[in-house]
Amino acid sequence: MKYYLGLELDAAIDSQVDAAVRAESAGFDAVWSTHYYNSPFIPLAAIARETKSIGLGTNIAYAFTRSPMETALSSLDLDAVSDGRFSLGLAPGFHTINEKWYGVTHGRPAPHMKECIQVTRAVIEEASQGRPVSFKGDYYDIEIDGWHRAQPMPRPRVPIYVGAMQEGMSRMAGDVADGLIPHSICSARWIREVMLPNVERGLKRSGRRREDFDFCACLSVAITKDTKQAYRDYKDTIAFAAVTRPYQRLFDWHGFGREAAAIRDAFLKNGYGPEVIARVPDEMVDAFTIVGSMDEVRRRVREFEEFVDSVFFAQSSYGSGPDVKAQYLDAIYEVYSR
Amino acid sequence: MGRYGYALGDTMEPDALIARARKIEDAGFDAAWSNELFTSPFVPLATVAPHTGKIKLGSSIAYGFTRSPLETVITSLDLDAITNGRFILGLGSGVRRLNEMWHGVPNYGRPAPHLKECVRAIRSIIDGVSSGEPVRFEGEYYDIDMRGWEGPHKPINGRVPIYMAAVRDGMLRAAGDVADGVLGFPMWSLEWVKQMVIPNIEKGLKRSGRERKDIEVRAAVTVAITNDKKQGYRDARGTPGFYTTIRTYQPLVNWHGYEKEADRIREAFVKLQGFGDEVLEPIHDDMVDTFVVVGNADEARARVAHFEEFCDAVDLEVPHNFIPDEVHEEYEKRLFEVFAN
Repeated sequence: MKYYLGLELDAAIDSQVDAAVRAESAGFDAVWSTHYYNSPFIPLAAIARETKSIGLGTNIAYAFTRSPMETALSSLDLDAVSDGRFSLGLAPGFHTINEKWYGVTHGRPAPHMKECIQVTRAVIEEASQGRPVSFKGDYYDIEIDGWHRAQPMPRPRVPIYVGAMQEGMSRMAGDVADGLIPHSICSARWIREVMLPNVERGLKRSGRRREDFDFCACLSVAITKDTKQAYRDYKDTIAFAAVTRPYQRLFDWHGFGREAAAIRDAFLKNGYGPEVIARVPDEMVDAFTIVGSMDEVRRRVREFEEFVDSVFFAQSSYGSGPDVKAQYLDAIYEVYSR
Repeated sequence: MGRYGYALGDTMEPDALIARARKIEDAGFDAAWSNELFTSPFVPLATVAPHTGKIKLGSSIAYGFTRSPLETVITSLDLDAITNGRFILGLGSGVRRLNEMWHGVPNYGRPAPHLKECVRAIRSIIDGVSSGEPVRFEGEYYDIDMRGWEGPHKPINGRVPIYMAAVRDGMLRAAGDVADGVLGFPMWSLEWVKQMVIPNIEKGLKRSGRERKDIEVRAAVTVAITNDKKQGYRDARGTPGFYTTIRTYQPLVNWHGYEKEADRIREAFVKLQGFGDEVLEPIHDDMVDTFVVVGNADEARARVAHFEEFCDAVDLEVPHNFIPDEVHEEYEKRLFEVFAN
């Protein structure tokens, strides 16, 4: 089992470097950056130089906000400065953010992602060697000839992960990706019954084996005696997802459709705040996050470990203050260092 | 003492990259530049940032249209933070073919208006994320409507300087309109600087209500320091040779009166399907002299000083096309000896 750690959203780059150095000395297998307030790539460049063996990945980089060749160049650079430790995690992001903030086409996310990964991979693996790349799809029309990567590459390919939640994206990941990192609100049941079968279909139709694929569980974990505080904190994480319409299906499937809709209604009426968060029942926290004592958490993480290849500890809840976040993180270190 | 810049070069081996950045800083130069072709323009800067303390670190250049303005903004703010305010975002349009075919850019359009709008969009977004206010930017090339970003994320010095690479009149005027600086092109001759570069930048500045002091104009000058001038001319042919084969730069070569030489260069290039002695053969000493500084240390200093009469800084280069590595390194060694501050 591999253990991964998510780097904190909106943290200063210096503190991301410190976090990565600590994760490396505690024996974690990889740290993963986010793309929102920070570029997914720049913090990893700083981390690469200060670490020696830990894996470095993006969880995730938005896929459509730069050209595939730009993504490939940044990936090749990070793989070079880390001596072959980089993994590229891509996800489509949201329609509004793509179209309105970034001014790029969102399209149909799974087919768009598939093409994006195919082109990015072709630049990394083919064009880098001076071989021409020609791709004509619904989203990309690319002809690369007369380019090569002048710098030595530590390895011929860079693993590409997909951030996913739904069936189509899971199948697509099985088709073309090396791994999948679910959204942190995906339950064990959802992963086992919905996502994994679809990944396996993708793998099968693309002639690949399950063992060639790194399927993560991405978990919101709070190891604590003060479960009351933790429930309050993680209600924020769940409310934040529930206000987003594409996640409604997941809540419906778990029998929380009405609750999720009520959370969103409250959000649409008054904006995001404590009233919205208070509408999340304790049962939703139990269903989508892992809160409890050391033994309780170990037991529930083990449930996932039966069918995933790696466990990704998501950065702690949106709602916690810095001290509480640090406590949650310390507890994860206590249990999962090796 | 003049302000000089130098390129970080193409290595991605982190120790070598950092050593190069330190060498540029130790020489007293004011800027080290990364480019975008084999590598991303940004990762090398992030790699050297914590290992330098004084020099500006900039992209020269990053393509403007191959990532969305917000993507460029968050990358720039990270680099601004990691350099403690030493980052310069240098943008260029890149040629059409590269944008469309390699990067799949759907709307290359007219490069100067497009890049000008790109700079304005980036500035609007930086203002928005600095204040936490919504961003609304509507132009011919960009339509951005950002609400809900929780800031503030402010640049260290309140502003990320944005420079534009410009070769010809339209882009020079556009830079005069909106840029904090202009990045020179290795084929800017002294005459081109006097007659084209400065007058067009000034037109842009004037029509936008700005002044000459609001913009840093950086020349890019290739310098071959040698006591063996004959060999120097030979070694330096690669600079005009390389750029003359690129169609985009044809008007610039012709403006200098080298139409006939250019025809022969391109014919040979097509015939050989690449570079070779035959391509460089038509490049005589006068043509080299127009685009490259060749001479001993005193001559080199004097000729670079001519550029400094019109430009605020000079980014230096040495011959590197179609010559052995050790010859290139020898020129680089002499350049650092002569121009170190």
